[in-house]
Amino acid sequence: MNYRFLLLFSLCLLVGFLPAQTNQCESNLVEAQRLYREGNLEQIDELLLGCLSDDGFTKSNKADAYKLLCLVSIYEDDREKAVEYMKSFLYTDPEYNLSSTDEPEFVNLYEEFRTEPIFSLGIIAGGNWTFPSLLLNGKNGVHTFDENSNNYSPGGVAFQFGVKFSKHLNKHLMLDVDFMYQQLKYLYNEQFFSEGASNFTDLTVEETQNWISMPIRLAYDLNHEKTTSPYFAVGVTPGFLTSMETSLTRDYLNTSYNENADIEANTDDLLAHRNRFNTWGFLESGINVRIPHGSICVSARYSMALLNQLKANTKYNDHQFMYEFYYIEDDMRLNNLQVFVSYVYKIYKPIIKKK
Amino acid sequence: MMIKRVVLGVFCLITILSCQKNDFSKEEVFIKLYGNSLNQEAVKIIALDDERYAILASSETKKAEVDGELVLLNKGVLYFVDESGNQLGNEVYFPSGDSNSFTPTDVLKHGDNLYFSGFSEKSMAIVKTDLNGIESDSKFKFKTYEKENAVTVANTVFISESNELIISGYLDTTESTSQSGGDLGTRTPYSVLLDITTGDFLKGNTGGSGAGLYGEYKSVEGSGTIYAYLMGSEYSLTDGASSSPDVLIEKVDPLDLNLYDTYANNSIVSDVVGKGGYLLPSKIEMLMVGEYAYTDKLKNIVLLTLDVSGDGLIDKKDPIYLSDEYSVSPEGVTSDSEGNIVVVGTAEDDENGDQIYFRMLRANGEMEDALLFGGLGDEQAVGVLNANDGGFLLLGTSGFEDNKMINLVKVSKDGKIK
Repeated sequence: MNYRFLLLFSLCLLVGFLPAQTNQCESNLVEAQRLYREGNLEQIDELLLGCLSDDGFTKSNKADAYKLLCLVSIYEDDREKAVEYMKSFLYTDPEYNLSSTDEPEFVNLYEEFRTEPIFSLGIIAGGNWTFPSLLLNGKNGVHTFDENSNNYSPGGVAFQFGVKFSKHLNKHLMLDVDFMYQQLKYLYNEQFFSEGASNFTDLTVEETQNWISMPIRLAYDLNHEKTTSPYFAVGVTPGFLTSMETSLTRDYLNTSYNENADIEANTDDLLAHRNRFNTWGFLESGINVRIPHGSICVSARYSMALLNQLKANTKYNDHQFMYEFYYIEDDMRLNNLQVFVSYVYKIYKPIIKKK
Repeated sequence: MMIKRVVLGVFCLITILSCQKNDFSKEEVFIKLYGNSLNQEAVKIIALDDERYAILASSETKKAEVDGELVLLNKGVLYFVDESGNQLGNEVYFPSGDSNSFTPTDVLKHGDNLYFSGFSEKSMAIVKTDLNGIESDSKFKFKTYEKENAVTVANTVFISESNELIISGYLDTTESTSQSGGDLGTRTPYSVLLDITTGDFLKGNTGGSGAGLYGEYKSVEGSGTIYAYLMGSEYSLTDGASSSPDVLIEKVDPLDLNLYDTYANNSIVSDVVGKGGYLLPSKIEMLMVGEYAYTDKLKNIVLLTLDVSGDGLIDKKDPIYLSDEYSVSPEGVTSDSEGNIVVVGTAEDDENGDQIYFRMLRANGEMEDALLFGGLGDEQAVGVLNANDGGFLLLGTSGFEDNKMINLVKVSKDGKIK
């Protein structure tokens, strides 16, 4: 019973004491700022250091206190102390933006520091549409055609997600490495073997591929000081195809002369026909919305595959697809358009930059 | 700084390696199908002068619908394709007329015309078209040639030295009205000579080595207008019923069908049926393929090289036996300019159904592995043609479920499809 009473008493004391201390430190800060304006620098340390050591400031006041102490040290010509207070100031408010009212001496010292984040960690997720780009004019197929490209389309929205690591090279440039799971989907549909006004059969092939990829990106932020800023990026994405599934359906459009049933198959056999390693080059653009200690980014990326998805000398290996589904795989690159949202948390380590 | 350089280096390396890995085969090979919902069976492919190929097939066509039931009529159909196997224009059906049934068996290009042998009901028949499959010659219409008390079946059409058309095949003198032949001993090689301008009947000859012959005439690819090398299978020789079945190859003057020589190799383990032949461009040697019983259960291919340079006897080289783990019936043979020999046929595959079979015998004697083409349905090879680029065109019929389509496979000159 006594213990409970003691605990309750302690909590009340703490709740009552903290605002009281904060109010006192806030008054000290106001007083210190007044003294600074009057040029009376001697008592400022005394007013602020106690509150800083007792953690009596709010975060905002703490930053103001370190800034004031830094200014005092600059005017007292104590560079060593000024640097220490600037470092503490930047740890407290790493995303401080210089203003026109900042004193030049403060600005000069600020600019000696690395004020951009050292790296960022984040998560990324979104959807994509695959646009197969045919090679060799798309001349494969058991049937006759001049050009096959119109028969391919994105097979709906696929998705991707992953984690993000960013290295800030300077205030504008950023190098990213992501580790992603990415799905690619495409659809092939064609009717062929003409019978006058109609066709004999209709083939639909849907393929879903699962990739592990590692996009590497160099991004340029157009206006890093604003809350909302557009950026552009280029990069490459090496990827490894982990698994895939192909669904084939062939329907008979004309059953006047025979009673064949439509045929269907789901298979992962075509994985052996794929280049398991592939690489995409990409261009990206988006908007960065800065939030405290991080940013949210909405972007669109168009990736062009550098390799044929079809492994050399494999397209004629599996005759079931040719003689039953009338399907021969085309040589093609799987280009894709991705849209995604990412969130990154920025990690700062302000130090004096090397000259 | 070092980290930036390493990352940039990796970035560039990936890009360069990725670009270098692109490897697209330039050699044109393909697998193509032609057809529609009606059954079509391939017969022959020939090269035309304008880099087109003409594929001849037998096709069902819709004649009428009676009480909800379709009445079908057999016709010839021509598909024109380019070097990539893509069809040029629409297919052409012939002969014209709703009552003219025609099952083609061979096509001959002569000048600016195509001549098609075949049969209609119980008769041999011929159709003439231009090089686009159009029956444009009003003097030479679809004609049939009947013979009393017999069914006449055409196999091939060719031209004699004196510019007459010859259709060769066989007479079936059984009471059966079937087109597929009758009992042993009643099938006799038979040819008709026709006026090339009108198609009028000039003469009919039964050929072969004499009484008791059971067989049919088939010309050999490349034999041209000089000779028709005819062959058949012989089941009953002149000395009686006890004779062993064997292959019979005859070298015959097409005008009078005189027999010059026969080839019978009694060392062959069992029945051999002649299936296809190819006269090498030198006109000195001829390749022939036959089917023999490899074991009790398996059929396979025997390849004969015959010296036909003399006027009289045929000199024979030792036969080559191509044995495989499955039964194979040969359907065609050809050779390329480097002396490699290619044999095509139909392989019986218990697991996947019949398949089109392709095998190359190198000029140095090495045998390449066989290639098989086909799905779970039955594919039947009908022949092989040398493509203009040195590759080989394999023609066959692809059957899947209730539907038969024409199948054309192009393999490269080194006998690969990659």
